[in-house]
Amino acid sequence: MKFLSRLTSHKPALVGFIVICLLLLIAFFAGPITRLLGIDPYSMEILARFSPPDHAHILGTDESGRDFLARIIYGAKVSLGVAVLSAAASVFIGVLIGSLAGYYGKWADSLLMRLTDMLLALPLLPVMILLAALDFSKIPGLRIVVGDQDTGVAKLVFILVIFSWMTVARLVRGQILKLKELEFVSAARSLGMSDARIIIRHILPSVVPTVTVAVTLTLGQQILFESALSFLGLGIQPPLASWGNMLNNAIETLRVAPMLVFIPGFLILVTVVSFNFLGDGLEYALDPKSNQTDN
Amino acid sequence: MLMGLMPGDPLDIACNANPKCDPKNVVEMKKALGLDRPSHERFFIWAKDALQGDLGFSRTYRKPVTEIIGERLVNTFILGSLAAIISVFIAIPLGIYAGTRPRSKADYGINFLCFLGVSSPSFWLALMLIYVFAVWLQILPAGGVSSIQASAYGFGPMIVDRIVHLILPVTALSALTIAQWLRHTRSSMMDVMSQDYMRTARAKGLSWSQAIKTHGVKNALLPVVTVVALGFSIVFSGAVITETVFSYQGIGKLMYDSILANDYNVAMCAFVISCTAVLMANFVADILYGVLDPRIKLK
Repeated sequence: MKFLSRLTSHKPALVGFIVICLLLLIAFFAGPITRLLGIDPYSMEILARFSPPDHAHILGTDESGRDFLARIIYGAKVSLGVAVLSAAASVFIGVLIGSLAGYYGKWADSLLMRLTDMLLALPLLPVMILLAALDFSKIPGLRIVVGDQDTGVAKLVFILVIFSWMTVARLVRGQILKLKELEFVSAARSLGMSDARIIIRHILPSVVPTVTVAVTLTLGQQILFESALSFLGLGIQPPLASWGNMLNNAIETLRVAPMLVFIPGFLILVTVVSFNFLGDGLEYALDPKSNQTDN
Repeated sequence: MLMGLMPGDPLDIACNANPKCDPKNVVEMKKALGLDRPSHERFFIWAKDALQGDLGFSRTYRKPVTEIIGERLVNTFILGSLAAIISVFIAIPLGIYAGTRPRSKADYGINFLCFLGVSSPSFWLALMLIYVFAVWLQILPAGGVSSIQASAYGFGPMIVDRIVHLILPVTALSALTIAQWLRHTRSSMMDVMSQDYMRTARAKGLSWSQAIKTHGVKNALLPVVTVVALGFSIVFSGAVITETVFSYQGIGKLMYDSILANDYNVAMCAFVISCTAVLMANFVADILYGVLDPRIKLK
C-alpha cells in the first residue's frame, strides 16, 4: 500500500499510467470499436484519397482512401502488441542470462557478459536495419519465425528481442552478485535446495523491483524502434497498420495532408513519454532511499 | 555473410529487368562471379579482398565502392560532429543549471523537455521540422546537401548554402543527444551537490557559485565524458533516420539505399565503417575515463 501511495503521489507517473491503460484498452478492443463506429481499416476508396474529416470518416482518409481513425486504432494494436511481446521476451531472456551469469560466476559470467557488452557496443539501428532487410526464410532454423503470411510482425519481434535483453541481464546480474553472498542464500543451500530453486524462489523475488523499472523503459524503447523500422519500410508491412508504417510515405503526404503525419507520430510520442514517466515513478516508488520530499 | 541472405540475387534482378537476357548465360555469369558458392565461402572471399583494400564494385552506382564512400563519410562527419558539438554546448550548461537547482521551476521545465526529447521518434521530429520550416514558412530547404547551382556563385555563397541545408538535419539529430546528455549531467550534478566535499568547500568559505565552479562541475562532468563519447553510437544510429528523411547524402542514407537496392558491396562497407566508428568511440571512452579519473587504473 505504501508503494501504491508513493506511486500515485508521483503525478507524471499517474498520468502516464492512465494514458497507457487507455491505449491498451483501445488496442485490445480495436475490432469492436471500429465495428461500432462502422469503419474499416482495410477497405480502400481510391476516389476518396486524402478526403478531409467529415461525417463518415472522422479523421479523413489516407493516401489509399482508407479510414484514418480505423487505421490509428488498429495501429495501436500492432504497435503496442509488438512492444509488449518483445519486451516480455527480452525480459525473460535478460533474467535468464543475468541470473546464470551472476549466480554461477567464473567462465559462465565472463562468457555471457562479454556477449552482452558486445551487443551493447553495436550501433543498434544500423544493425537492426540490416537484420530486418534479410530474408529469414533463407535461413533454415529461422523459417518458423516468419511463418506463412509475412506481415513482418514475428520477424520484427524477433529482431527487437535480440537487441534489447542486455540492460535487464546486466541489472539482474549485478543484483544477484550482491544477493548471493547474503545469509539466506547460504541457508537455503545448506538445506540442500537445488540451484534452480534457490534462484527462482529466493533470489529472483528481490530482483523484481529493478526489473519492473527496466521493463517499463524497455517498452518505450521498443515502440520507438518498431516505429523507426516500420517507417523505413523494413518492419510491419502494409496493409497491416502500425503507427510507424503509417508514416511510410510521410514526405509526400506532408504537403497534402500534414495531419496524417502529425497524428501517428504524436501518438508514439505520447505513448513513449507515458512509459518513461511511469518508469520514473516506479523507480522513485520502489527505491527506499528516495525521500518523501521528492516531487 | 548476412548480406547474401537478403531477398533476391543481383543477377536475377538484372535478368528480370532485361528481357533479352538468356537464362543459360545467367548460370555461366554466376559461376564466373562466384555467386553460385554458399554464402560463407563468399564472405571469406570478400573479407580477403577487403583487407587488401579492394572493397568491390557498386552495382547501382557503377563505380568502385571506395569512390562513393569517401564523400559520403565527409558529409556524415560534418553532420554528426556539428550535432555533437551543439549538443555538448546546450546540454552541459543547462544540465549544470538544472542540477544545481533541483526541484525548482526551471528544473521541472528542463526535465519535462528532456522527457519529450528522449521519447519523440526522431523521424517524426524531422518530418515536423520539415513541415514547419520548409512547407509552411518556406525559409529552409526540405532536404539535400546543397542546391544544384550553388557552386556557380563562388566559395562564400557555397558555404552559406551548405550551412542552410545543415540547419534542419543538425537540429533533428541533436534533439535526442541533447536530451540524453542533459539528463546525465543533471543527475550527476545533483549527486555531486549532496557530497561531503561540497559541504566542506562551502564551510571553508567559498561562495555557492565558486564551490560549484571549482569542485562541483569537474566532478560532475567525469561520468558525462563517457556518455558523450558513447554518444557516437547514437549519432550514427540516428544518422540513418535523419539522413533518410532529409535525403542528406551521408553514410547512413547510403547504407539504407544500398540495402534496399541489393547493392551488397556498398551496404557491407557502409555498415562495417559505421560499426568500426562506434567501436572506436567506445574504446576512446574507456581510455578517456581512465585518464580523467586517477582513481581508475588501466590494467
